Amino acid sequence: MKFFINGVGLISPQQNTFDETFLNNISGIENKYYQNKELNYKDYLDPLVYRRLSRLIKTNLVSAKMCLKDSLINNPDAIIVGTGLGCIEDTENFLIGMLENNEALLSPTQFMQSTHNTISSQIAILLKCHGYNNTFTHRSFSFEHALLDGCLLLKENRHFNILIGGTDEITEKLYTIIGNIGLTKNNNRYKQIAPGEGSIFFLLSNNQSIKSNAVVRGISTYHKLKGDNLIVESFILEALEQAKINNSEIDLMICGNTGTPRFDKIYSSIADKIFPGATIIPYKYLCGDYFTASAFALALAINIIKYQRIPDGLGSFANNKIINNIIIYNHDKEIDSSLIIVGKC
Amino acid sequence: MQRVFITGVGMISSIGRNVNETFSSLKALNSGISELTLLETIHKNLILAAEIKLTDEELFQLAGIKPQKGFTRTTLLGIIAAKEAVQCSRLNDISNRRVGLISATSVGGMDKTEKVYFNLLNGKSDFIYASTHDCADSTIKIAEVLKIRGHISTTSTACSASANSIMVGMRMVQNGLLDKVIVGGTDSLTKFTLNGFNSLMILSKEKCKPFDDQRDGISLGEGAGYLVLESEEVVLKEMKNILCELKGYGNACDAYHQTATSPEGDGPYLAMNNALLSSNLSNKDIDYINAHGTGTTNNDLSECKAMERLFDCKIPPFSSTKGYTGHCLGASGAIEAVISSLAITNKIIFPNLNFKHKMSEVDFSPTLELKGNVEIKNVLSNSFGFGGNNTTLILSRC
Repeated sequence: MKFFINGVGLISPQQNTFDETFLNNISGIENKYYQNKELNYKDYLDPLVYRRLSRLIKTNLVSAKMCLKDSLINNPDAIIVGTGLGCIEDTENFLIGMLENNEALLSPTQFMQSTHNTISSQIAILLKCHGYNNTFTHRSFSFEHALLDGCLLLKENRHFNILIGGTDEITEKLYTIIGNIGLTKNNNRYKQIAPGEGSIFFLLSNNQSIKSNAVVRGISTYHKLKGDNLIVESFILEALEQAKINNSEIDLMICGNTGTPRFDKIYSSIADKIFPGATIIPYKYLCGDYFTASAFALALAINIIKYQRIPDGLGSFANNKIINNIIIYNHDKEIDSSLIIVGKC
Repeated sequence: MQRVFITGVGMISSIGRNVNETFSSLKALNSGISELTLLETIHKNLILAAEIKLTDEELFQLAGIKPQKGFTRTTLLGIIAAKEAVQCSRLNDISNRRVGLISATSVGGMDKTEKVYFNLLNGKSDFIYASTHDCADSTIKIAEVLKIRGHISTTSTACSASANSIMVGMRMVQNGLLDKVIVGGTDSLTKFTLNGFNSLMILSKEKCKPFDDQRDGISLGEGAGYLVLESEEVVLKEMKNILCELKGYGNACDAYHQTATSPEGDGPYLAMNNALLSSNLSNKDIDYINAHGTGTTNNDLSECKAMERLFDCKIPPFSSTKGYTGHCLGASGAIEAVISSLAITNKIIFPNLNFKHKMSEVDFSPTLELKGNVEIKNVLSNSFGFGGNNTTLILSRC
């Protein structure tokens, strides 16, 4: 597998200029949770269009447009979105309206925009793109499966430029519920990474262009069932074998550490065992913890490969060494594990 | 590319708890649309729906699971239908990592979320239902019950969600990523969707009348449908019994409006045309269309316009089976794929219910009588979702 990333559009809690200055000034958490750096949407969208749209839809329309601009592609052949929870804000508003007003006086717009596929279809409507359009929503696999589907489309050779996004939003109410069920814990012993959000798009293509930043070489996901013995080590080795890459060829591992020692332990033990020569950097402290955060990790990997530098403060790397291959390794409480392998063009 | 075969089917809806009951109801032209008795809503006596008249406790029993917290109605329906599909196909090595599950749903665990939302928000109780809200929850629970250890995933594209899960599963087998995959979808009735469609003013006051000139909207339904897909290689090796072939798919976006379809049915036309192309078939090869046919003014006219364009005015027999099952949203694509496989294996075309008046804009009408002994080689099954997510599947006799 070798597919080119020919463009990136990024709206996240960090600056959205995706050049060699990316992450030069790291933004810390400003609130209880990580929030996107908002843009002036009027600069990107027709005011008649953007007024009716929720924040998540606006963010994604703009991120998708930024990605296409970056890749010098006007209209993609297909649009695929991965989202763990979809359009939370409109879902909350419609649900609360329904419960509080005893099923009366409801806004059809909120319902229309509450479905998960609103994101990919609104992009299609904006671009008048009649091509393949799909939405994956499977917790921390949502973005990976969108990316995998894009790779399959390219392999099938009927589509050539695929717009693929990973997105989720955080709201005050969602944050409250996450806290209530005990998923955000801060105590004396450790500080857990707060929830976050992002809208990140990639243009995946089977054609190398002057805009090619990096190549996707492999994607693997593994869901662990109760009593399952398959250890993560063999899952990773299998993925490397499929991507035809030796473990020694991996120069950098980007990990989904969440700040919980019990769950972060495995990242360092895998690094010691399989990638002893690689530099290890966590990324969720930059974007927050959310189901499609791996899209942020992929953007980071692409930026590192493109500019051959690790942004200051993230980790160190021998000056003259070339960064050829990066593995992104995420797991959600050791139940859902995923890998994305990215390489130099 | 590998050919892909359907070796097992399972479904539950208002017209039957399994495929056999469904088949009997279809042959008897029995509609599952009736007054709501289980869903608590102020619209109870105003709107009809295709509700499964089984309580959650009864669904637990049917699913073979001890009643417990943490299971949504959507999950229970999914387990029941997926189990039947697996039994039907006699899958013996289900925990092999080359066996996958790709499921679909539109609103996931909303049937429980809408009951406990304020308890979750106020930190009172029902915390277990915070983790059953998302679309992946039902998929994961089905995988656990069936002991599926391979690739598991979820698609959600509103009313075409399970047509897309079937398509994705097919492509994963074609591309050699999986040997066998259980595909389909599940959705239960919820106050959320009922009120959503009601706010859009597209719910019928009566039983839905697809393709009728006086049609006035959708009758919502609930249910689940699953199919077992296997590659040609394993089917030959294991000498599996084949129900039919999943011949091709077409996925296209209408890219017109968030809830309305374009007047000339551009997206539906492209989806159907792409399905023909991917199946290497021509429009003359289609013997029956299981239409999307929701019963809304907009959908049925656009779908007819698209059929007119694709078939050059020589439209094959077609019907919408939503007069039987109601519109089961994220599950409808899979439910209708199961019904299409029944049409092929039993050589029957199930007629369109509640049709009285031909649409003024077109010169053709759906099939109105049960037709037996029909040589059905290729069936085209349409699923069109909000946002113009249109997917067509083609199932073929082997």
